[in-house]
Amino acid sequence: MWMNFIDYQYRFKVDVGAFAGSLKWMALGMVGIFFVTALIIGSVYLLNRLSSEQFKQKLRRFFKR
Amino acid sequence: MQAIFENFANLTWQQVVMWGVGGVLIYLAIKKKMEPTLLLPMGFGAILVNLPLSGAVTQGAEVGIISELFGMGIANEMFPLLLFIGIGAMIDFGPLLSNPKLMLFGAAAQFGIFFTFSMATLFGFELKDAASIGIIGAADGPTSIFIANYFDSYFMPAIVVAAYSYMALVPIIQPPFIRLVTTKKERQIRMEYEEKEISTATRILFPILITMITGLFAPRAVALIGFLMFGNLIRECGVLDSLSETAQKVLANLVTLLLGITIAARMHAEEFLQWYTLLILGLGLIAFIFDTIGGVMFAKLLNLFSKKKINPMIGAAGISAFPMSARVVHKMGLEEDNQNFLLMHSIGVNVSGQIASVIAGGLILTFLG
Repeated sequence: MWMNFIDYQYRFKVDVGAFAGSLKWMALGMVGIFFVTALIIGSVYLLNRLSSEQFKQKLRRFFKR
Repeated sequence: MQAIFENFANLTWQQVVMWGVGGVLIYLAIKKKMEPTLLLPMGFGAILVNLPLSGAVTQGAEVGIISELFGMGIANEMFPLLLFIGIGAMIDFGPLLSNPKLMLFGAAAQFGIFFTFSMATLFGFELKDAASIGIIGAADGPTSIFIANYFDSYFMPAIVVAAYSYMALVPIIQPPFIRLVTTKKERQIRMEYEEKEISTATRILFPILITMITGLFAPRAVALIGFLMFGNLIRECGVLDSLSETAQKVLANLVTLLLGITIAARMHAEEFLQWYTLLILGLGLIAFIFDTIGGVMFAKLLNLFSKKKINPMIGAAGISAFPMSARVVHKMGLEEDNQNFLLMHSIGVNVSGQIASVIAGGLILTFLG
């Protein structure tokens, strides 16, 4: 299985161009993770609110009317 | 008589060194209790696959069991995903649901992943290999295996060894860097914990919601997050207690048992004994350090704007190495002030790191996959 990998050659080099290019992914990654996290936080707040006793009472009152 | 010693001619010095590597992993697992469930099988596996003409691995047309297990359990990502069901069943998201804002720290503490990814490209690694190396910062073994395998990274063995070793070393790695970026006064900030009751409906809907949101933005992470959240759903639904218990104990143990020894299939001397293994171990350390710093600095940033001050140390718990990181922060809080109990906050951040690390992995797969 690993015979396929033995041909692989990694050569050490300092590749500033590749580093600069990767900064785009770094920025995008951090923005992406905060964006998805913000959505999750919002949803959890919504879930907590919708399942709260106060909200249930409001609903009951609304349907009794 | 000659036939008995014939195999000795096939022995190389690299294989002998790998026996030593295996021995070190076994030593660390037993003596230092460093992630023994993984490091011990990996150590033994390293010896197993590095015996000349080992029958445990495929030799020409002769199929070896470890190579087969690798194909059946890791190459198709099955073992890490099954392990995630067990992990999901073990996690109580209660502290996080009580204070959802804590998730922000989990997100911030993934900075090390992306920083290390960039550093790896600087040192000449190809983009997908760099991403696989960066994901060591997820501080989450199954995610590291999943991503490295998805990208078919040549460096998977070193990545897995780094991920699991550093997870075990969290109590040693994190404290000096937390101290480096915080003042004594900041470390003494007390945080009150208000326990809020979380409804069963919220606990049940949470894993479903997380899976859907993450899946919509990072579709390639659906398997990872889905299996983690499936495990949690089993735990929280209240009608599958026996399955939850099985997932937490039997399933997790069984998969772990096979995972470690199977990863060793890629710890062949030719692959592992390269100087870049050291470079990857170094980059892995950078990932853990910058995860820690990222989380702490984000908490400090929030303190600039919030009236209720946050102890910045809890940001470091976002590293996802669960529950070691939370314990480290709690202990450091007590060292500074013996009445400062940060455990519930840091546990909340820690479990959010678990989710955030999977999201980070999913985003990387989406960007580069």
